[in-house]
Amino acid sequence: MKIYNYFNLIFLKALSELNFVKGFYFYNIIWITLYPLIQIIIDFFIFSNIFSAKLGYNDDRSYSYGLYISCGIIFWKLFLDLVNKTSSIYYDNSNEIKKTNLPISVMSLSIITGCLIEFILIFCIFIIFQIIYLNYFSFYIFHIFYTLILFIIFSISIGFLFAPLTLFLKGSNQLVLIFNQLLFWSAPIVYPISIIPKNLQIIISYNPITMFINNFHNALIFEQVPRFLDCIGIIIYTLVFCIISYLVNKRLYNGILDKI
Amino acid sequence: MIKILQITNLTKIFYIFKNPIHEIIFHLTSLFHNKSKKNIVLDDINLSLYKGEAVGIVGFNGAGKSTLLRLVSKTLSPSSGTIKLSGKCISLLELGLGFKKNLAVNQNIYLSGQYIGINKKVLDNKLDEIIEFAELQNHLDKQLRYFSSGMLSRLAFSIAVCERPDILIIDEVLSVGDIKFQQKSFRKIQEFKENGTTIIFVSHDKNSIFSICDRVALLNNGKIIQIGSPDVVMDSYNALLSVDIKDREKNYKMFVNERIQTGSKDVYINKSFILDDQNVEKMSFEVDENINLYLDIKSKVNINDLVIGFVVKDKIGREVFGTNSSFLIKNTLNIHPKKTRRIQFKFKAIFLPGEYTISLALSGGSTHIDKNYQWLDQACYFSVVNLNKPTFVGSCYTRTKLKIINLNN
Repeated sequence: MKIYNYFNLIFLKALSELNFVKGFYFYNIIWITLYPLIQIIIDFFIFSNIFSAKLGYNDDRSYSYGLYISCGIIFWKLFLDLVNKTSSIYYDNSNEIKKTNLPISVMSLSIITGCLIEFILIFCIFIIFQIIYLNYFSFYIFHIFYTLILFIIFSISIGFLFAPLTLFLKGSNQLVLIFNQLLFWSAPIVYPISIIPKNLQIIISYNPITMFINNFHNALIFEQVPRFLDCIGIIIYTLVFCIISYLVNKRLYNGILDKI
Repeated sequence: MIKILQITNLTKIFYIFKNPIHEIIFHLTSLFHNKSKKNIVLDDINLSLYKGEAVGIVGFNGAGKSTLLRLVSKTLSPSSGTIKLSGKCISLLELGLGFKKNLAVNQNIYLSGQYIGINKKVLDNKLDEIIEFAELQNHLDKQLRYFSSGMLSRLAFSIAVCERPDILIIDEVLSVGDIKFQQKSFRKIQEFKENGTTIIFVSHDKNSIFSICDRVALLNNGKIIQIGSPDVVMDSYNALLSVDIKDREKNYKMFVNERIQTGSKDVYINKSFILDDQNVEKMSFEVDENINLYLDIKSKVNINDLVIGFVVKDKIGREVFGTNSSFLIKNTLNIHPKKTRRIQFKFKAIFLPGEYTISLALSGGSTHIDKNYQWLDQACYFSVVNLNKPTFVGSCYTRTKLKIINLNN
């Protein structure tokens, strides 16, 4: 099986999953980007004024909380999309799996492509907004690339851990929602880690999402080189989850084919 | 002859669990084996296919035909046994897989084509050919959502047959589009076959099986019970159909009692069957062959105004032909209790090839309104095939001769 034979298919499938309509690409881009744009604007103008005092960075950047929260939310949205779509991959593509022998990797790659297209659009808006409105640009931005690759692999692995479960146990996608909520609130996405008690900080710092988000924050907002411990942490987490979900799915695959 | 496909000792078992947690643990660790219910779908199948051969697979619903095709096209893994394929295999288990309604025709051709395993380069070369075959040259700029279902299936079929594979697996998807396109698609399949494609073909339509297949395998309860030339196997397939009718005859009393509630129980049909001229029970008749319909009739009381009628109905329930004893002998029949009368209707199967059922009626007087003793729908089945008569259209066959006269003017 040669994956590069399928590039065209992956791209077309991703386009159709984003509901791209033939000949209306411009409007499609507007629909995708409008909601995050509004979100960014709200974060910057409302939240930054309310919460800026609590952030603990006593400089003159009153927008810093807005920057902090919208940066976290953008990456969290990517994680959420990937996990949700991957966890229902067998369910959504049941007919294709049943009737063709298209590899599962092609389907997951098309999910990644679709989510990445959406993410890149939103991320560009975020950067442009920073430059135009705040006259601010972090040159540590290049550090996010390897983190992003690990982040995507990590998200897909989590999604694939849930994928057999949602197929065998109807209605267990509620479990994914609960899991996502817990993960979201136990990571410093909407709050800085400094505002919570010290003993809780240690627990939260072991959350893989915390490590990823720290890396993104360091690169995009705090203009720092990512912490070594975070990098080691995300590599270990990604490897472990990737191997576990690969083994589980490989073991269950015949059962999945029978079940579909 | 080159062997293309070799199936040896193929068995497929589905395990059915009540508790989904047990199911997951079973697939992970093979524990909880005892908590499952075994459903043996295919049992020890052996089959070999050679180059350029077309094999039909017939059987009732749930006999395991689709599972066998899924196993051959490798979208299901066997419980035991092996399948050896050599060459490129395209399986048409469903037409129009992967069509996305919001994309254009060209994009859908690439999408659907790659779904069923055709290379992008092949699609690049054959793009115009596909569109021409599907007769969609005037609709290229449209989204797929504005297409009719006939256009969609035409497009899907054209994509599927754009490249000649070594093995083609077809699951009842040949009857697409109008008659003209159906004939075109049949011609395409024949052309593939002549060029050496091995075809596995599942259908309930006898005529398409006769026109394509060299051999037919009869599948029943997960086993191949017969494999051989189409006419022999189709006869035993029909015999198998009649086994089901006999099963029903065991419960005949109950069955009759349910029906007769509207009429009286005075006279009833004890048994009905169809024989050919050699007194052999048969389900498949040649065009213009004699059909002998026998009815065994019993009575509880003395009746002397009995009329026995039958009507032949086609696949969609249209009445093709029917008559009754009063029309034939211009008189009513009488019948005494404790005596069984056997009635024979002899008529010619001058019908269009297809499947037919016979409905029977026992009544008093010439219409069913006066006294309705019994009305029985689908009492017998038979099918008509055309093997040596010239091809004809319409609903019946009459012997036709062509004569050419030269006129000197």
